[in-house]
Amino acid sequence: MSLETFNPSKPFTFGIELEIQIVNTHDYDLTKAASDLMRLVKDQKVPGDIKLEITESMIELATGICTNYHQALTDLGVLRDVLVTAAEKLNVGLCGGGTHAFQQWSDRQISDEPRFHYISELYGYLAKQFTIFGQHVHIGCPDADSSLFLLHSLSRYIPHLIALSASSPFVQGMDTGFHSARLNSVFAFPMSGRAPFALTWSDFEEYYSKMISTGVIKSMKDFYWDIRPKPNFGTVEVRVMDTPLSIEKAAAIACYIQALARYLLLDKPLTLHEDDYLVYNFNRFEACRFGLAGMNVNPQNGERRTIAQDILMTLDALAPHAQELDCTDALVVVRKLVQAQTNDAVWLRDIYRKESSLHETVRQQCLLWRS
Amino acid sequence: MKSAFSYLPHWPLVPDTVFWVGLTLLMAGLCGELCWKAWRLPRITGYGVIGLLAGSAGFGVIDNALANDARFLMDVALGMLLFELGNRLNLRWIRTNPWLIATSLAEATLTFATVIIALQLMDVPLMTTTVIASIAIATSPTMVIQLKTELKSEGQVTERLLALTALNSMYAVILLELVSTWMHQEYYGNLFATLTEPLYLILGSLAIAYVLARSCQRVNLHDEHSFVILIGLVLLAIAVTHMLELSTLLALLTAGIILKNFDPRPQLWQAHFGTAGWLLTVVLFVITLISFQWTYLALGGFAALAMIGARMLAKLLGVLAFAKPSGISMKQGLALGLTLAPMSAFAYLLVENTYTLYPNFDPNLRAIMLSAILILQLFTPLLVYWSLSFIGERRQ
Repeated sequence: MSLETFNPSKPFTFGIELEIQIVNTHDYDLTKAASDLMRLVKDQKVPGDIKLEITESMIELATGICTNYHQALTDLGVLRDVLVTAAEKLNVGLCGGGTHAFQQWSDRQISDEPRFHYISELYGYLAKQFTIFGQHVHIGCPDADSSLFLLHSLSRYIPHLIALSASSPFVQGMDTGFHSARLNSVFAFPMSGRAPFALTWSDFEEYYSKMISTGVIKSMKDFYWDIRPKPNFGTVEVRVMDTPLSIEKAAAIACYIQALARYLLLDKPLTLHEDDYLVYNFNRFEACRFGLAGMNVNPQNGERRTIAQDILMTLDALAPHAQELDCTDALVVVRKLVQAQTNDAVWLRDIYRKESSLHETVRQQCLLWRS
Repeated sequence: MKSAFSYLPHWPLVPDTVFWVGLTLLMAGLCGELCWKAWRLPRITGYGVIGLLAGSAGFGVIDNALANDARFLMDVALGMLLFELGNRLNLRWIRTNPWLIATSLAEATLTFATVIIALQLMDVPLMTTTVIASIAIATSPTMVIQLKTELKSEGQVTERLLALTALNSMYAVILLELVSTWMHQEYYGNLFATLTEPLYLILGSLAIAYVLARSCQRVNLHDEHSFVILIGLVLLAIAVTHMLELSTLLALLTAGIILKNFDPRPQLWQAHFGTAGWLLTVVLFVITLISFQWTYLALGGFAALAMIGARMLAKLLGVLAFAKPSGISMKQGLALGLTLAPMSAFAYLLVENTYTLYPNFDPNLRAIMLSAILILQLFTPLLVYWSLSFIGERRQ
């Protein structure tokens, strides 16, 4: 199967996908209600859409095509309210967070869809361990080549996005010490990590057809890269974020990426080299492990700064672009978060310290999601 | 007479109670495993069969005196399970989804009405009919919790089954209390006593429930060591309700509900109160059928069948009527309606309590109810298994 043609889209428009946890209201463990929720919301008019995910304990919401922060917030608000109302009718809770704090992966049930059965067959227990919850952001690109340029220049900012959204410090009842433990689960998949260094669409097509001929992949969907092009949407899709605990944070992070995209494509501040990726995994690890306090090494000059410092510097560069895009308010949210050094992982640990109960922590996650 | 050989046992050997209890549990455990491993039948069915064989309907290895002593054990086991069940009833859910209350009232009222009609057609005396109809409202909390735990089932049918069972158990106890004012008047003819009896019983039980729930909130239930404190509190509450002649069933169920709903933070302990609670549950299933006698079937078998048919139909219709608006599909409604069928220790204790207060009450009550319990305890676990599989909610 050859690669789909790239359908250009309006530059810097964006769409947000959020994978949400479905928990019961007794002990707040993940529960099985995705199909029931789908039945209740299927006739509701919402911007974007709501769909099933790999296990019955997760559901995905997606905004329509957004142009600015307020529109994203409104779309997300409508989607959230529709889902929360349906969830109340079923006595289940919904919440953000990249992992569920104490679920046992073996308890999960694979959703009844052919693709999910295929994944389960292929990846075995990894499929059930893939019960993790991420935020994906699509950014519109004017043409195929600029999508690849954007993809590789955004790679430099992956640690920012991980640290800002990190909300998965607990896995299977334990504090992992990580801010985002979710990405470790993604890394188990053979087709995960960074995209190959192809800067033109024809090079990328060549890579793609070679991969197809090996029989290892069947479509773009089989790549679990941190950032991947989505030719039929005409976007690049950034996939490293944990689902934040509130829609405000999700919208703010999406707009940070939107402003970054405009900055990178219009100002072209970076020259891209394959060697930029030498420090990619190290920086990514620092962000997962230490969050905003993690180290970020500049691949070109070797300078080391904390991720927080790096973000604050970037925010200054983004200011004029944010103004153009009408998302200055989003960057205010990001700046406050960085200055206070309180991403969602920090919030979760605080609640757990106060309550000494992961069950109660998840309950408060649900409250935060509704508010 | 003491002799040099007094250390030898007397002949013939006389096994004591522990021997018979041990033997019964051993057989129950083996029979339960056999049912499950060999035929995929619910373990509970196996426990029931052994109870039946151990009691007067079989080999009579356990006599009535022992069965009477076991009443206390039943109260404790059932009390603990009701406390657990109450702790799963989320009142906020009922407020946000009032169709659940509609479902609950519909299935309970329909059950009461259809059982009365069915038994009247079988010429059962009206007062007995009313008592049976009240008890018939309740779904067995023991079986519901046991089956949920054993099958690790989760989903809308399971959640609603727990909620509806908690509610209909509550209706049954309160309705029976109101019906008994009529009996009280007939038996004792003292109007003042008639009027104050249900008040004392209901308000008194609620007061105990409140005190128990508030005390539990002070204990960190997640901690396995403070779990001992929780068991202690629950046992004390049961003992106090006994001393004050209040309703253990009502007190413990309400305590669970208060504990769940007064403080939104999850109050959790091991399902079944851990291994100790599980053992008590097995004992409960065994004991329920120990006092069954075959003559009951002759006396009340047909009426029991009529009652079972009417009850199952009523529960099914009551649930199906509001399935869609309450947010489940008709298929889920069908499964939920059927899973409401179990009847076991809870009904048995309500029957026995009636005879404790009114020893000369119509023997038909015991005959019909115990026949119905026999049939439902042996066959409905399978029905629940099938229903939960049919709807894809069981994991084992």
